[in-house]
Amino acid sequence: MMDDLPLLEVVDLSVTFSSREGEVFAVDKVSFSLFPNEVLGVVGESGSGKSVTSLSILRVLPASSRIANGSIFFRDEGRTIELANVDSESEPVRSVRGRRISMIFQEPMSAFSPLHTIGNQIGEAIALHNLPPGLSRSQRKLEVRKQTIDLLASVGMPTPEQLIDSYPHELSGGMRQRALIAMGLACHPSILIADEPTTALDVTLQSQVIALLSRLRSEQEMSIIFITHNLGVIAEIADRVLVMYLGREMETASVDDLFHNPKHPYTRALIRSMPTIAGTLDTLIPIEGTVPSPNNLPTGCRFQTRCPERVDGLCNVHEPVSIEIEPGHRVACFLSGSPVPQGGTND
Amino acid sequence: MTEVSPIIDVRNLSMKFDRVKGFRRSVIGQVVAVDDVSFTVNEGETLALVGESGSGKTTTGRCLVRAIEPSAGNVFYRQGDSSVDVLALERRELNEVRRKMRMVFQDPFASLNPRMTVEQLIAEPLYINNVVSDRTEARAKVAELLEMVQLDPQLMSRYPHTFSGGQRQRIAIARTLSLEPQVVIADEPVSALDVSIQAQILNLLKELQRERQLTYLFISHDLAVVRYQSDRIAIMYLGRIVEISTRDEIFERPLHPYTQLLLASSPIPDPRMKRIRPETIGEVPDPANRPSGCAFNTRCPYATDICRSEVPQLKESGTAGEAHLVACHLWEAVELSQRPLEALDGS
Repeated sequence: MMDDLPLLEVVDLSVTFSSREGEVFAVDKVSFSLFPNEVLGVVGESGSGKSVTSLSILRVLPASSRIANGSIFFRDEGRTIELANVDSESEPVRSVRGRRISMIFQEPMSAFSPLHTIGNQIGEAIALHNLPPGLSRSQRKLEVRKQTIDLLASVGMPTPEQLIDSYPHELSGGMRQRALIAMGLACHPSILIADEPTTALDVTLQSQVIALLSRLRSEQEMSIIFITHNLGVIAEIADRVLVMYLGREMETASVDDLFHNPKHPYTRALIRSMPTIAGTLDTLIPIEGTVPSPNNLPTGCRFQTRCPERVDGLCNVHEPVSIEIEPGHRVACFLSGSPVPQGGTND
Repeated sequence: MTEVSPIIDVRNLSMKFDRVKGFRRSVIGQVVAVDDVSFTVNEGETLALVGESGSGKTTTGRCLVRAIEPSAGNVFYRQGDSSVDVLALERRELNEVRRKMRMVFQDPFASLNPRMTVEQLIAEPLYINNVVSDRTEARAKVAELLEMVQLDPQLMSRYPHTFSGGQRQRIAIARTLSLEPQVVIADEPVSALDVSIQAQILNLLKELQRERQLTYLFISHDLAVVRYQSDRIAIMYLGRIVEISTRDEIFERPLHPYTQLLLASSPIPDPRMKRIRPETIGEVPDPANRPSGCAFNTRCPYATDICRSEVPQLKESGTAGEAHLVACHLWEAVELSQRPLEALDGS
């Protein structure tokens, strides 16, 4: 997988929100790559910047925020498009958003308009992006309907010919989630960003959605950025994982390394604090304290206030930068070899 | 678990809601949220009620303190040598029982009045029940309770919005325990919290249980959490208990096909334990349209004619040293075919 060129490269991305207390960094110098046909899991708690990162890729950030720094390179159909430093409504962004990179959200009830049928809403993207040229009006309509039914069938809807004409409220939670995934896939994107797609679902449904996304990924040769706070789900679906905390990258590793050879104290602490249905029943070791407010970030490493392995005079003074300790395994921690700045500057 | 007399004895509890339609709210049918549920909770233990949405677990919990009035059944609550039927009590006696049986809710953002300070929130039940008579006394008691949940008593003049989710849940727990209850009904107490905070609250609940000999009814959808918190587990599906036994029995020898499905669907935070997930196992039917016979028959891989016509009763499986009740016509045949976790531990 590593031999291929990455499909998506995010380099030193910083996103700020303006608030009463001034500019706040929601994402701070985050870099990662996504390879073809890969599932990248992005894990973090609230305030980690995991959702903001994905919103910046599609350039759909809320008005109070802006990309302050960094680049996003997207390789598609033989060309490379830079998405971070152009206008969010410019042609390159519009040609990518929803067509080559699409996104599905947590709450299927709020992602759909209650006023239109499922078919109309999914068909909209197809009509906009995915029709062969030169069709008459009625041919276009038929073609959209045909593609929509195929899509609904591909996500495991039992009777797509009927469900296409139903309204969101008429569907069960599971069917709605499938319809949402179908909408995300309408234009055969090369990247699907899934933001907590299973969090609102019951566990038997979550399991089915994981299975569905895994199958679609291999069938359609698409890459998925899977954002979640649930390490169990990550272990099931991801190939590689990016762990974020308060807007910073803490660790990036293959899913096996992350769970069996975690290097960052935060990753280790998260794993120790998580209850699981298998394995030994040790006492849970919680992470002390609470996530600091982004308005009032700790000095030095973002995690030092809660870190059981903190070295005073180092971790609370300097901020570690991410380094590659083994091929494909990056960690931002002095204890794992992040370079210690000389001279004692505080940045 | 030898000869412990139950502190709570629930018998044939049912809760039916009317389905209403239109402006005049005419009754068009009934939803049976809880259907003939019986169980006991022993003093000092944690019984978990586990199920997906629509299982009636929350409704059952609320019926015990008559936060909603159940349609039928008895809830015997033992105090010393005598026991009372909570559902038959007059207002005044009911209030007495409610001091002893109290609830903790899922969402600490919704359960604390934003216009009251922490002091007011925690002292409110103390004033109402004449536990304290003046402010000095109240403040002393509030300080003591805050220390018990490991919060700084100096923060008592603050409002809830200045606290993080985990801290708010601590405040809610302090409020719940202010009247020194015997029984705590905890409804998804950690589901709304960040992963790194969940273990803190789970450990706190356990500590408080040890110190104060509390009895917990722990309502949750998360089997992993339940495994760490409970002594016994009751699995609910569409308003009925389908299986109830000790924690180890449920995890090591699940008898009901639904319990097996739940276990197989729960993600395990270890990529080396990845399982093949079926993509279509259906979802929980609408509780208003409950399947006849065994409610699980529409999703059960083993269902036969008897499952579609006859409601299975909860019966002792009689094979274990511990009580292990299961409501399935076919459990003896099913038992041999699947042991979802055992197969995994070998890997």
